[in-house]
Parts: sequence; C-alpha cells; structure tokens
Amino acid sequence: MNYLEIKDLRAQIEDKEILRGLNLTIPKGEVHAIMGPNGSGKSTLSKVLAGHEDYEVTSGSAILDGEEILGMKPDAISRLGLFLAFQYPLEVPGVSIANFIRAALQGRLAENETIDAVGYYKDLYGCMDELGIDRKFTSRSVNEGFSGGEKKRCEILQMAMLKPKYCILDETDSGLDIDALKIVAKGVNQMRNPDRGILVITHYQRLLEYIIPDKVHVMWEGGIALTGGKELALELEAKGYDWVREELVA
Amino acid sequence: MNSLDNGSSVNTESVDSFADESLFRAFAEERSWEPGWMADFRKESWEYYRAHTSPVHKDERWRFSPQARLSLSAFAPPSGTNDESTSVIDSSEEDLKEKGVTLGLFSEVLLNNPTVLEGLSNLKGPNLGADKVHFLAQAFSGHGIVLHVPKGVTLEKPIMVRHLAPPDGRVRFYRTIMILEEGANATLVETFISPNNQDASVVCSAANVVANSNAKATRILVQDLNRNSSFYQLDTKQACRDAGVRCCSLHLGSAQSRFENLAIAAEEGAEIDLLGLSVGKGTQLFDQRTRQLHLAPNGRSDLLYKNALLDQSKAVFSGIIKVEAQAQQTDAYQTNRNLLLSPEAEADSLPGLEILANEVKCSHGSTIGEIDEEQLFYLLSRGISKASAEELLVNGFLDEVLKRLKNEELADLLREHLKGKFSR
Repeated sequence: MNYLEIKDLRAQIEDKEILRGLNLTIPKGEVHAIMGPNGSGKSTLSKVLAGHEDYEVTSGSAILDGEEILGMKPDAISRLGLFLAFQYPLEVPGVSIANFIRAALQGRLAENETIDAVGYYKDLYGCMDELGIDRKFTSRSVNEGFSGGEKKRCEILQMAMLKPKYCILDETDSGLDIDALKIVAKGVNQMRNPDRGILVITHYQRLLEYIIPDKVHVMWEGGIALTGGKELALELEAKGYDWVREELVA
Repeated sequence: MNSLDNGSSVNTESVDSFADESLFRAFAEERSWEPGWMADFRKESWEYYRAHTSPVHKDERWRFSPQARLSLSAFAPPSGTNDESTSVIDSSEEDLKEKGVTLGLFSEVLLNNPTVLEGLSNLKGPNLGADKVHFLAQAFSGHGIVLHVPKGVTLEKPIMVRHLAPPDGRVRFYRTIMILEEGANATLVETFISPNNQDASVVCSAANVVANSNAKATRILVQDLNRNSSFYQLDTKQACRDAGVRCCSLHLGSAQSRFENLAIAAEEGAEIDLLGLSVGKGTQLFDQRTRQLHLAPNGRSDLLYKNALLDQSKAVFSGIIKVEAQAQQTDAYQTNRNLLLSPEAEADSLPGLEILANEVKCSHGSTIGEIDEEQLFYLLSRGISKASAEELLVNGFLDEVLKRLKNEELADLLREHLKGKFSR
C-alpha cells in the first residue's frame, strides 16, 4: 500500500507515443530522481500521473497506495495525495496566493466543513517564512509577475501546505540561480519523511547535490533505461547522455 | 408565471396595455396628489411612447439582441393598488437634514419636497435603443430614490438602498435621481433583488446621475434578481467642470437584462469611469449598450466591462466613444472583455469610435476568450474542484474591475454578491 507503482505505462499525445512501457516504483520514505535528455518523456510522465487530459493512456497502471489513478480527474488525483510541482507554473491573475491555497485545502474537506482562518494563516506564514517568501505575497496574484525563483518557491509553498503523500517535482531547478536552488532544495528536504515519496525530475545533476536521492533513474525514449544509486547522477554528468545511448546499444 | 423566453415576437405589438389610454388615466388619477408639472411630464412622456415606433429588426442599436426576450407585452402597467413600495434606504450618515441633503424614495420626495425634482423633465434617458421603455419609465415611475447633495457637502458613508422587485406578472419603473451640487461628494449603492425565486416580473431602473462642478459621484448598481425576471437599466451620467463620476454595475441575476449607459463629459475636465461586471449562468442574457459622449475639452472617460459566461449564457456589448469637435485633449478608453467558460456560452462585442476632434487619445478594445486549459489544469492539479476552479478564475478575471473602484469596502460588498452567485 505504501507505493506509487507505475507499470507498463504507455501514453501518447496526438497519436505520438511518448511513454513506451514505463515501469517505476516510488516507496514512501524515499526520494527518487529521474534524469534524462530533452524529449525522453520526463514531463509527459509527470503530466500523465497528474491526470492531464491531453495525453491518452493506452496501457498500464499507476497505483497510488492501492488505488488506480490513471483515468481519474486531476483534482481527484491531487486529493488522493499526489502533488505535481510544475516546470512552468501558470499565472492566475486576480487570484491571490492565500485564496488559491485555501481553495485547495477547502477542496480536501467535506462540504459542510470550513477552514479555520486563524490556523490557516499561521501555517501559511510559517511555511512562507521557511521558504523566505515575503508575507506580502499572500495577497499577490498567483505567479503573476513573479521571477523564476519566486514561482518555484511558490510551488514548494503549495506542496508544503497541501502535505501530499507523493510529490513530483518537474524540472524545479530550471531557471534558478544557485541561491534560489538552495532555498528550494531546503524546502524539499524538509518535506522528506517516512510517510512521503518524492520524485525529482531533472535534466542536470546540480539539483541532486542539494536533494540527495535514494535512487536515480535514467529515462530514455519513454522508459526507464537505467537505475542506480546517487552516484549514477554523477556518472551521467561526467559522461553525458550519449554514454547512455552507447550503454543501451551495447 | 409568465414565460418570457418564448423567442417569438409575433404578439408583442398586438396588445399593448401600456398604450391603453384608460389604464394610463387610471394611473394618473391615483397620483393626482402630484404637482401639475409632474402630471404634465407623465402625460407628455406617455404620448411620446405612443407616437414612438418600436425598434425594427434591423435597428443597429439592437444588433445581436434577442429582442423578443426583453418584451414588456406580457406584463401589466403599474397601478396604485398593486404597486406598494418595497424599497428600503439604509444610511448611517448623520445630520443629513442639517446638511441640507435630500434623501428619500421617489414618491416621498415628490410629495414632501417636489422642488428638488422640478428639473426632472430635463434629465434625459440614454436612448440607446430602449427609448420607448424610458418613456414608460418617465410616465409610470412611482418608485426609486432621490439623492440631492448641496454645494460643498461630503457624505462620508455610502447610502445603501435595497429594492425588492414587484410580484409575478408586474412591471415596475424606478427612477434614480442623484444630483450633486458643486464640490459635493456622495456614494449611492442600489441593490435589486426578487421577493422569491419564482415570480417573473420586470424591473426598469432609469437613473440620472449629475455631478456639477468639482463634485464626485459614485454609484453602484447590483442586479441580483431571480432567474425568471427581466431587467432594464437605463442610465445617464453627466459630469460637469472638473467633476468625477464613477459608476459600476454588477449584473448577476435576471433571465435577461438590457443595460444602456450614456456618460456625458459635459464640461471641461470632466472624468467618468464606467465599470461593468456580469456573470451569466444557464441561459441568462446581458445586453449592454454604452455611449461615452465628450462635449468639452480635457475630459477623460474610461469604460471597462467584463462578462464571465457559463453554460449557455450570452452577452452582447455595443459601445461608442463620441468625441465632439470642440472636445480637444480628450482621453477616452473603452474595453470589453468576455470570458467564455463553456463551449455553448456566447459573446458579441461591437466597440466603436466616432471622433471629430483631432487632438485626442482614444482607444477601444474587445476580447472574447475561453478559459485557458493549462490554467484550469493547474488549479485542478491542486485538488480544487472544477466548479471551485471556475469560480476562482471568474473572480480573478473580474477583480481588475473591482480594483478600479478604488474603494476596498465597496469592492468587498460586490465580492460578497459574487460569492452568492456561485453558491446557488
């Protein structure tokens, strides 16, 4: 029950198959990283798991703590405990961060329950302080006019507030300078615990210096081609993705 | 219950009880206590109504409008016996009398302080298509609100007025007369609601807002009638020298509504903000016509109308900026934005400019956009249900208009009404 288990996942967009029989299991308590070249299907995997309707799943399963999530609506998947930190977080004009996160938490309650506003703001400010986000941001529109670093921190803030069982971070390091990267990594590390599985998707090894993974997977042409320990990331960095190609041919 | 939404106009002109002389006479008879000039004005208006031809199908001012839905023909004219006032004024402002402010229901003021209304016949309607309905409002008005603020007087708190729509099968004409003398400052908030969820009635609100030199007038209208009702908003706003008029209409209710807004920058330095928000659900119709008229130099007018349309709802916007030759250095802007939240929702937008002066800054823009699927996915991916996500996105879309009010208290008031729209 304590796994996000993906089996033989095949998915396509506009008749182009992107995921080609992918297998991956993320147990709670572990941090896994997926590395891979552009176009290998990393972002597609994260969107398919989050329930994006542009992708058609043609076979396979994704079981979250015993429940099949493929075919479920994105909001239901989220409420079940999966969180996707977006590579390109969207701007939502006119919707404040405070209202946005509150709506997300409200969505997890029964219809007749409402969120205690005092406790909510206490939690929110606590998380914002940890992530070095100015409290004034609560009234700013979600991601509107944010810098790249602010957007990614805002993603981690949402993750911290929603306390998901499984987190997928899609290229959270892209567009970040080293200071922003460290803050984001710190936020992720604080969320590591035995009841939570984390999947970090990245193109570069750099992020994994700050978020040390338990396992590293290399994605290649829509599947997991290699799996190893954290040292695999260093090897990839040193040898480049062409090395994977040669390994696979050999 | 009257069915308005029959889509047919075959019978609209065949029986016109508003043109019936005996009914008008009976109405006038019941109001024989009114001053003579008022009786004359009613009669004259009623005669104009009778003489005026109805807009024909090709009338540009009714383009894209399913006119039959807005017909009054199924409704009876008001009469004294079934037209009791159901409006309530709520003002916490003190010393109104000492300050020389006149505030009261239309009929009350007509009875107790008629001199305030002596200029009534000079206050014209917007006449952007529903001219006949405005003549009826002049002839049959028994309701509404009068606010006259003397020179230099500022009312700190908004005057709140709640109007209850008439019972089933009735039409009711309201006049709003808001006149601010030189340097005066006041805010009027009017809310129209229905007595229940069933009664099909028509509310016609004909307002004139006049801000004399250096005066600042703010007028908010909230239309939250039930979904069997029809609503006409026929407004004329006029700003004189260096005066400011800021108006906002929030339309949430009614099966169909037509709102006409004429804003006149009458003297040098006049500033007018026209704001509109509508949220449509089901088969609701919002038919919006505006005219920003610049008669004098150095004026500014800025219009922002936003419509969020769900289900099969429909909005029509048609607006003109008219700048007369003498109105140099005018800044006039007009923006209409429509957000379609359903593939069956519909918006038509016809912005326009008519500029006779040569040194002006004018622009118009309109957009009809659908909800951004990626944005929606982002909200859903946080566990927000589709309905809540739509509510958030609509509120976010409309927030720009509320911010333009530059008054958080009033904006919050409108946000409360918006919340109600989604809880139904």
